Amino acid sequence: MSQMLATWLAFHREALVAELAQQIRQSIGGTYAALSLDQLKGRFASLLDALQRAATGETLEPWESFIRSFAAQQVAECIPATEGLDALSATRQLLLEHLRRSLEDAAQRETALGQLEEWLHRAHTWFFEVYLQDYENRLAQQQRALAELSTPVIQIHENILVVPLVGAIDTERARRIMEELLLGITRYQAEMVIIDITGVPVVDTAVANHLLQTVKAARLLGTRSILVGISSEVAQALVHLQIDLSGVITRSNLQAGIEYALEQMGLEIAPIRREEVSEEETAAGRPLQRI
Amino acid sequence: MATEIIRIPILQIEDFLVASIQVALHDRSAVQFRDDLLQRIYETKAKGLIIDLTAVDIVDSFIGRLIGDVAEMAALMGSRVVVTGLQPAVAITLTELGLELPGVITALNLEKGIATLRRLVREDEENEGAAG
Repeated sequence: MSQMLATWLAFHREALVAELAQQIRQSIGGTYAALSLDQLKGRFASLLDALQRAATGETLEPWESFIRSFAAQQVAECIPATEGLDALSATRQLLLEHLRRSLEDAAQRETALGQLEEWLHRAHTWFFEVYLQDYENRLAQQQRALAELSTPVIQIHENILVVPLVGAIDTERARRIMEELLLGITRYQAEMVIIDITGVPVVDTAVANHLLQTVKAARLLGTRSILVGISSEVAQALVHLQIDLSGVITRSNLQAGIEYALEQMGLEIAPIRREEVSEEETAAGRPLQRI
Repeated sequence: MATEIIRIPILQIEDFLVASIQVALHDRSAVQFRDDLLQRIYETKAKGLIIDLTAVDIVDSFIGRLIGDVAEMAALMGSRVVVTGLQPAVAITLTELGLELPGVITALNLEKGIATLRRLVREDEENEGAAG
């Protein structure tokens, strides 16, 4: 693309690299200061080489792919975006300054400067894109993790599930809770579900409505739901809002809910009666007994 | 309407009828299904009926309401209805449509459905016995 620029870069390579490494180390510092001078030199020498290849070749493609992998490397090393961009700016400034000084011919100088300016400008964009992409990926990953953590469906006994809900519930989350709960029911073929809202700070009409819908949908599958952990504030709020929970079985806390569910299945939690229980049964260690 | 009416097979097991819907029903087939069911209940004097929806992915408001109707009609004819195997997505759709099928008894799968039906029929007989 510009043989002249390529020749110039090749000729001044060593001096430029040395000065650049020095400058970046001093002016930007941060993570770059932690790298040795040789490492910095190596890194920016390859940057200049890529620039030179782009100047020799037909397209900007090698330059673009170099900048993208360069940015990916910075991301992997957890170098902040600002430092990486500062390093690119420093490179740009140094190259432009040197080029301005070393070229005599005014017209030639203008062309070369304009070209270099454009390439480095593009490099900023590509660099930033890679960072942004990585940031978005991480954000999406964390959102997925959060979504998974927000609705654990736990099987506590054959046929009995517990769904402990913690934190505020909005429409989006309520929808996910419903889906996860119903999928859990079909997966475990559970006949009873205990929904524990101890950790839900506020229950307004919307949340109550979502919970009711979930209970109704679960009933359609053939599963009974028990709502537990209604605090005194929540109970007051529900009554003030005139929300009718009469169709839903409620219990004060998780323990009462579990006891009720077991009772419905004809089970109870009882102490192991060691003297009466035969040896195999003790070995199996089943505190749950049929009534 | 060129659409062909699909007939859902209705099987008899002891005192119960079992109908498993395996295809997406359009409205006319659904009506035919309802008529067939009621006719079979009349003929066999079945004490219970299971409608299995395990293989159904989509239920619209018409079918949803129809199932509710069948349960009521069957009750008039002395037969209990249990709907089994509803898919989560279907359950969500039905509640969103406001069709919570309040009069319909549900069970997770066919096996539990039969157990539920047996229990219901036994309870009914006990009640009758107590009343008589």
